[in-house]
Amino acid sequence: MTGGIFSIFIVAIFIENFVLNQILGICPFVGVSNKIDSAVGMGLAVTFVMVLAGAVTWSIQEFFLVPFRLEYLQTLSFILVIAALVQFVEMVIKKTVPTLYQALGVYLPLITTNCAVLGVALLNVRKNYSLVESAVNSLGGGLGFFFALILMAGIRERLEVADTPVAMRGAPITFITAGLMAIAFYGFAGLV
Amino acid sequence: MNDMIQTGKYLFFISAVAGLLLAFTEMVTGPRIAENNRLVLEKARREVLPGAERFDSLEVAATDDAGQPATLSISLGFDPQGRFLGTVQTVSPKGYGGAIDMVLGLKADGAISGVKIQSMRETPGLGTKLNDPEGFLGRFLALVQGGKPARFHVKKDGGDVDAITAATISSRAFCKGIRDGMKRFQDNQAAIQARAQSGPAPTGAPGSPTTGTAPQPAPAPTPTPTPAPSPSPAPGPEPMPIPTPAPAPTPVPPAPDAVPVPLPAPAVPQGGTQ
Amino acid sequence: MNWKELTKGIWAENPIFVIMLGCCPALAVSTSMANAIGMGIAATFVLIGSNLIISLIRAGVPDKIRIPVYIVVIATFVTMVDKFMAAFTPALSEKLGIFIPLIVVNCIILGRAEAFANKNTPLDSILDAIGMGLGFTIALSLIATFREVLGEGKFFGIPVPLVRNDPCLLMIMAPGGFFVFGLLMAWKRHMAAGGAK
Repeated sequence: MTGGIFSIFIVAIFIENFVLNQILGICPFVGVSNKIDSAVGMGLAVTFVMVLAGAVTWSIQEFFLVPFRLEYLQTLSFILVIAALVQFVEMVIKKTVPTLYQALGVYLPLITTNCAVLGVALLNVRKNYSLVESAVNSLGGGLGFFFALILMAGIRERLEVADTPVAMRGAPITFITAGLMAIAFYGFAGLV
Repeated sequence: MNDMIQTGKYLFFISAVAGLLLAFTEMVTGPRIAENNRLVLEKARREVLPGAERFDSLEVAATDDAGQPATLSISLGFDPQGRFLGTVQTVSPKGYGGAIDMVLGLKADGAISGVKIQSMRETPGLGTKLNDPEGFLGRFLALVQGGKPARFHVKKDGGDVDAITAATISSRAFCKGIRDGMKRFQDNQAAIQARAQSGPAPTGAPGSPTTGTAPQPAPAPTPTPTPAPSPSPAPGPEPMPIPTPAPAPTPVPPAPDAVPVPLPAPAVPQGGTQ
Repeated sequence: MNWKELTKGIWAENPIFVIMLGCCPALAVSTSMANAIGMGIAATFVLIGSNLIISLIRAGVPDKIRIPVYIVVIATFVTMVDKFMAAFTPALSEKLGIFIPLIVVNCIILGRAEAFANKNTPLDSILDAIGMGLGFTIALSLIATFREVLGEGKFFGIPVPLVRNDPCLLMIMAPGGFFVFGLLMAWKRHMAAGGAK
C-alpha cells in the first residue's frame, strides 16, 4: 500500500473512521455515548480487544486457514476467536487489574457483537495486510472508534440540556449529529 | 466431570456438523466463485485491450508506488491466432482518497488501447468523475485516439489532459498512473518482446517468471479449431516471426467468444501491484 | 398458528426503528433498493435458519455453552449465504462486501435466538424470524428509497423525474445514511406516540 505503516494508521483513524466513514460499530456508538465516562471505558475496551483480535485473527488466517485451504471457515473461526478472546481478556483483567476491570468490565461482553471488531479482522485479510500492518490498522481503527465515541459523548452531554423536540430526543438526534460529524470528517480525506 | 464430557461431546458434535455443511457449501460454490473472479479480471483485460483472447503474465522487477522495489505483473495479450496484441497492467496511483486501481492496456507499439478504473475512493461527485465515459474518461480516450502525441500531464502542469474541475489531485493521479504504466512498458520492452515472440504459453502452464531465454517455437495455440492446413501466408501485421502454423485461411474463426479459452493461471492477480 | 409472532416484527417491534438492533447494515448498505433488498433477504434467510435450528435443539444444549453454540449455528448459515451469493449473484455480493459476513454479529440474529427461539416452538420461531426479517427488509428499503431517490436520482436503478439530473450525492454517502435514519426514527416515534401534536 501507499505510504506504509504511518499512513495506514492515520487513514484508519481519520479518513476511514470506522464509525463515521465505514459505518461499523454503530450500536455501541449510539448506546454508550450518553456519558463521557462510559464512552472512555467502552472506547478503551474496544481498542484493546481490536488490536488483540486483529493480531490473533491474522495469525489464524495465515497459519491455519490458508495452509489447510479452510478459508471457508473464516467467518466461523473469527467470531469464535473474538468471543473467546473477549472472555479471556475479561478473566485476565479481573484477576490482575481489578481497578481496570471495574472501569471496563461491563463493556467487555458487549464487544463480541460489535461489528467493528469482526469488521477490522475481515478488512485486514481483504486488504492483504501483513501482521504489523494488521495490528496498526486495528489500533488505528480502535482509536478512531474511541475518538468518535468521545466526541459524540461530549456533544450529547450538551444536547441533554438543549430544547430538542420530544420525538427527536435520544437516538434520533444522535444520528443527525453523527451525520454532521461524518461530513466534517470528509475534510480529512486529502490528509494522506 | 461427567457434565464436562457431555458438554464437550455436544460442542464437538455441533462443530462437526457445521464444518461438514460448510465444506459441502464450499464444494458447490468454490469453483463458481473462482470462475466469477477470473471473469471479472478477464473482462477488464479484454475491455482495455480489444481483440485479445488469451493472456499470459510476465513478472518484472519494478518499483511500486511507494518507491520500493517490487515484483509486478504485466499481462501479455494475444489474439486467438497467438499474435501478440499488447499488454495489460494494473497501476495504482495515489489519488485524493487513497489508491486508484486502474487497468491500463497498451498496444504492441506502446500506444494506449484502453483504460478502466477498477476501484477508487475519490470524493463522490468530484474525483469519481474520472470514470465518466462521457466526461473525463471519454475525453481522455478521444485525446489518445486522436493520434497526436500527447503529454500525459494535466494542462495546469503543462500537459494535454483537461483536469476535472475541483478534482485536480484526482486528475493528476490518473495521469501519473498512465505515465507509470507506460514507463514500466518501456523499461521492460526487451522482456516483453522476447515473451511476445515465444507466443502464448502452452495452456495450463503458469507464466514462468524467467522470460525468453530460448524462444523456442511455441506449440500450436490450442484454440484453433480448424484442422484445415491450408498453407496461406500468415497475415500478421506484426514484424515478429510467428512460429505457429498459419491460421485458418479466409474468415477468421468466429468461435473465440464461445470457446472458453483455458487461461494459464495468472501468477499475480489484481492485488499484486498494490 | 400465531400470527402475532409474524406481524409484530414489522411495526410494533420493528428491529431497526424500535429495538434499534442491527443498525450498521441498515446504514451502510441502504444506498440503493437493490442492496437493501439483497441484504434483507440474506439476513432473513440466516434468521429463519438459525431460529429454526436453535428452537429444535434448545432442549439439548447445555446452558454453559449456549451462546457459543448459537454463534456456531449462526456463523454456519452466514457463511453459506456468503458463499452462495458470491457464486450466484457476484455483483451484489461485491457491493455488500464485508457486510454479508458481518450478519454474524448483527444483533438481531443473536438477539432473536436468545430472546425468542430459545423459549418457543419451531413453528413460532420461524414465524418470528420471518416477521423480524420482513421488518428489517422493510426498514432498509424505506431508508434506501430516500437515499437512492435523493442521492442517485433513481429508484431500483430507474431514473426518477425531477431529481435525476441533480441528485444530492451526500445522501448516498455515510452522512446521508445517518440523517435519513435519524429522521425516520423520529417519525416512527412521533407516530407511535399518537401522531400530530
